[in-house]
Amino acid sequence: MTREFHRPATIAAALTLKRSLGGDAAFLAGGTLVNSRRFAGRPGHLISLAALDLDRIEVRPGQIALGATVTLQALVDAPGLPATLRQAALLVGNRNIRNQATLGGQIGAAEPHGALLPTLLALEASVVEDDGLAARDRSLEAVLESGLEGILSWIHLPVSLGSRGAGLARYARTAADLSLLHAAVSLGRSGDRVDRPIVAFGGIGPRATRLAAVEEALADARMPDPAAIAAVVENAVDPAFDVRGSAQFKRYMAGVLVADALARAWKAASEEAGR
Amino acid sequence: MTVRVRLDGRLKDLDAAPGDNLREALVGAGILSARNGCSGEGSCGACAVLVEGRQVNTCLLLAGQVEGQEIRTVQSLATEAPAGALRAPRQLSVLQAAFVESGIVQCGYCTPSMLTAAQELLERNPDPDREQIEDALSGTYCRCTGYEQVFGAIQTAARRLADPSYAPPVIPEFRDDLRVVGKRAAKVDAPNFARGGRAFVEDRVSERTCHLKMLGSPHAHAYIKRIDTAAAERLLGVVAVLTHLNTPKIVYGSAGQGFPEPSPYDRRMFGQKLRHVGDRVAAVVAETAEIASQALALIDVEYEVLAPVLTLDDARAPGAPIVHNGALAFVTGGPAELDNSAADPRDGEILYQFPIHADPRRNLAASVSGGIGDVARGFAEADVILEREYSGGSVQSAPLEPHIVYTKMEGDRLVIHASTQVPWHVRRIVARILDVPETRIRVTKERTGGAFGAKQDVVLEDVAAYATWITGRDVLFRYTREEEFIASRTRHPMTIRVKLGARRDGALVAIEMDAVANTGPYGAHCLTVPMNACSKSLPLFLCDNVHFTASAYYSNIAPNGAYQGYGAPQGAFALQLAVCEMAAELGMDPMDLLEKNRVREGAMLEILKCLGEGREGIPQLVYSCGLDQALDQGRRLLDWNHRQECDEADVRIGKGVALVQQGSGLPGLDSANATLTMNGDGTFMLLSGGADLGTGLDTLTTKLAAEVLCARIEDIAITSGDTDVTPFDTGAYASSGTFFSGGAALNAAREMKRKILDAATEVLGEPAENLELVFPSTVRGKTGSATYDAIARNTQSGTGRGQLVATAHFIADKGSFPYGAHFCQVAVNTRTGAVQVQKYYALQDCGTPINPELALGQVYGGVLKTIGHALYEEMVYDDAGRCLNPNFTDYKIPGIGDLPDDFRAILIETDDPFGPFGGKSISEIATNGAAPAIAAAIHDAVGVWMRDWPFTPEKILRALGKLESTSGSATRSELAAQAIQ
Repeated sequence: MTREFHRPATIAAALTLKRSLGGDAAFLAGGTLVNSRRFAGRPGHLISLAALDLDRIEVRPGQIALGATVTLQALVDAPGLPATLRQAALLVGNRNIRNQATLGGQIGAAEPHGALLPTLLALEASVVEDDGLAARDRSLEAVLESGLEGILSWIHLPVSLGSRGAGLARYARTAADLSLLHAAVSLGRSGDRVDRPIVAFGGIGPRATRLAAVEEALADARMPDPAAIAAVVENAVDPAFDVRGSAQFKRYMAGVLVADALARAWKAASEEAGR
Repeated sequence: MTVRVRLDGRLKDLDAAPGDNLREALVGAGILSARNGCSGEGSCGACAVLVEGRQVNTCLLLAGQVEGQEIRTVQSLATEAPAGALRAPRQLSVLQAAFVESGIVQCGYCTPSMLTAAQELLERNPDPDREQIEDALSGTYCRCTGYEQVFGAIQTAARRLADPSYAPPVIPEFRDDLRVVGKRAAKVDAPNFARGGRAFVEDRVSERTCHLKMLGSPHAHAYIKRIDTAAAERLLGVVAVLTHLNTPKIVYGSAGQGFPEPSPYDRRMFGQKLRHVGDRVAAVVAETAEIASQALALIDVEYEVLAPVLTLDDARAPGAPIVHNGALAFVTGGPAELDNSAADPRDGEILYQFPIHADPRRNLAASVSGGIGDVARGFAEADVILEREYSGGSVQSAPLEPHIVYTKMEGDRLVIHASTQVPWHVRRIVARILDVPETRIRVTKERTGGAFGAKQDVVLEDVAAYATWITGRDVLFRYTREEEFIASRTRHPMTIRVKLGARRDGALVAIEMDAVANTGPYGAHCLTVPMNACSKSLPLFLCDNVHFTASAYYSNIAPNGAYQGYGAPQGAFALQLAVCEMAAELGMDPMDLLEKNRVREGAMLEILKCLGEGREGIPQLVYSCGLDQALDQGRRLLDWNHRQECDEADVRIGKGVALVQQGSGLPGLDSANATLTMNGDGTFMLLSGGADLGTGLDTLTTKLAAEVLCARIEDIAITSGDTDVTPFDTGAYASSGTFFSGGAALNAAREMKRKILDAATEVLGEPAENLELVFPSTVRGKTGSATYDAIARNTQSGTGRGQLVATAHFIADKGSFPYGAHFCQVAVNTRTGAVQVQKYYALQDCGTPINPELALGQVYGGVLKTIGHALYEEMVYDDAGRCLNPNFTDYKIPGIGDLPDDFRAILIETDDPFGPFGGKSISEIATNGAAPAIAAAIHDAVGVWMRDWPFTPEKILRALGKLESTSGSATRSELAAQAIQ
């Protein structure tokens, strides 16, 4: 039961509060997860990040900086962001949620399902974690793996994919459903070979993750046919049964979705190369 | 804490606890329109308002998050007039008016959030296209309307804001000979919904009302060995704790059916035997909801856990656990000697009003069989015999407003504010349980935020009424969304075996149908639902040799009931798909096979004599049938004979068709009444027993009266469904509203017309035969005329004949059957198993469409629900009988993004002699076509017959051989071993 609501004006103040309140406090970004009935054990203190001036999108030299409290709808509406990122934000197919949910909140929650985190992994996003004294860059993958100790303030993306292309594919039951399974791929094209592929997947396992074995199989290889890459993916994932489908279905779909996302990324990279 | 905001244009301090969400704070500030459809999960959007100009779910925002921000609710919309402009009182904004006139407002529960979403869209985009509208409304669930008409509503508003003279798109209108019937007219309750006004049960609740919370059983099948409520009773603020030890032991049935009901009386308010997860263990009545929840946690219960019965196979297995092992009794027709020696008193008892061929010791809840002709001879004459089994699981009706009741005492009388389809059945059943005469109880049906059959049962009213009766306190009992899933009423899972015999030329010579339903823990509707699977599908085919059996078995899944369609969707899926399969066997076009065998005008439906509801039925002549036109038009619209190809390598396109029918109430069983009174100014009060569920029944009855009385619709005010105020009506079920409640209103209007003419003879000095009613509200004679105003003043004067009052009833011994043909085109991705419904055309004969735009909305809503059922909706249980997806995150219902790309409802006008101005029912029938039509189209696309719905990608991949053909999806054992991710 929440007993107190805090709205600090600086990152340092927010962290001081959190440290003083310990485990009975949590940071609150948009609130679509923490405020939901589905969120078990809401803490006694909620520390809002809304006043930290992190709801900005800045295109800097060589880098796009996305403030942690930028909403998903702002990602959809902002000009100049990678099309794949916009597409992933739109796949949170419910505008009410996009109007409230924040990029930082999505990363902080690190839920296994959804479109955004695999897509950010494929786009080589890094994050800035601020402990009140200093800010340090961390890879998104590391943050998803081990969590945050400070406040996630900014998310950084390369300013463009250069000659690389990206593609997404997902399985969902309805248009506004979560991406129950989501593949995101980015790659470069070097002649007829795949250059530095990044293959990320969400919906299998506890968090979105890169599929190293699949990346390894693709690196410097000719573009494989869908069945071949699907077979690699099926060997690389270990899905669990749940109410949304059997393990066999999820394994099969993981292969299909990665193959589809790969084909889209290859097509996009080919178009980039042709420019 | 206090949160200062600008609320609907004015500064406002919201009182809120730090953990309160904005919805709670707004309700506290008197804003009713932020509705609660998902219990704070943030998945339905019914609570959404505009915060800083953006549509957000208020259940996901803490009140503290909006400090200093601007909040606009639907109540702000009507202030959009230009500065200084005069606005008539209660005038709607352009957007609100467009919603009202488009037919998109049905139950009204989600209307405010749809409107604010549309407002946000129009503020940033004055000329939105379809895709942009879809995006704007993507966060709002609506279970009634099928969304289709909202596109027209918003685009009309956009154009009218740019050009006030813009006229909305023309919709089909009917019956040139009539003034209001068959013409577009605003739904009478829609303006109030569009303003976010007081309408629903929750809007009636007074301060200091107690809250009732239910402790649900954690086990699917168990006895209560011991229950200790002392600690709960000691908690400050607890008013009462109810258990099987201190509540009435009277057995009753929850089904709101005409008395004597075919459903068994097999439940008590609280039983010692628990028969499903969520079954009633104990209730706490407390001064706040929080105290009630705390008290529930203090109740100590020891259970004797029994093996659960979950599937039909479980229920029918030799030696299966017995769900109902109580003593049996019959009011009439029981066996001369009943052997109850093996009964367990902890199971309570079962009372049958008459035999329904049950055998609870074998878990058989009810059964019936019958037929015409000689099926054995028919099969002997057949060239081709096909036998198949079809099945479907549990689906939730999912009204956005969960079950809710508010009870209070007024003097010595109990008042029940109910969200119900059956106010008179509620009164009768509650009176029986309380053991009081019906005079002591008043049931007021409030506006229902969706019902769909689930509110045909007494689900909450009995226990809330009892709590008020014994404590004298006002009591509110409202289900959470999870309780709605596990403890309200869902659709019967059913397995149906169909055997068809046909000659080479396609003539069907024998049909056998065996429908077996899983009725769950109690027997509400257990006979009539599987029976309806047969009675609403078999008469579509003219075959001389037909036999059916229908049965239902008890189990320990969530309670099943009267979900819209009432067995007909399951029956239609089985029989229509079997006929398609037969066409494939014969090498025929399925449309040719349908044409050869289908029902036509003038046919005598002999099979109906075997399909009465627990009594002998009546064969019926088909007086009107719009299938000629529906099939012809649908075939052309879908370009039936053209094979569609797709550019995508993995995608195949197919087409399907299904015939549908329903009834228009239950001739010989249903009864409706209405009263019209003339006011002092010549306007009218219409008192209708009918229960408008958001379907437009009140509008329909008002229009019928306005038509007969040559009055303006706005000169007739309707009150409906109040047992103290309006006359009796059996209720809104079995597609009876138009035919029965409408028939009663029509008869009352005709009687009022006679009385007006009679009274006018005194005013005009002319004989009645010289007089006629003319619009508006005038009696015209050969020498003069008199307004109703003048007639009213005359009749109500000290020398007059008295206020004009006309009461009439309606019963019928003949039926009017609505028919339809549903066509669809699907694209099946053979790699992913995904099915996309590209086109869906529902062509429906409802006789005279009395409210055309509302009739279209009924069709869109019914079809979209069933597309959801056909493709992805299914309640999933683990081995212990726990539903694993009791929420809108894990159980998806269709949103606005899930419409077919090309979605059309088309009304086929026919001339029916019995319904009001030829009207027939329109709504329920719309739920029967999607599953068989989509399954047929899937076969046409990829060559596999999907005989078990929903047709999920996983099942399709298995059927295509892409996955191993095992259990179809994750088994219950597998699910039990895993937590939901």
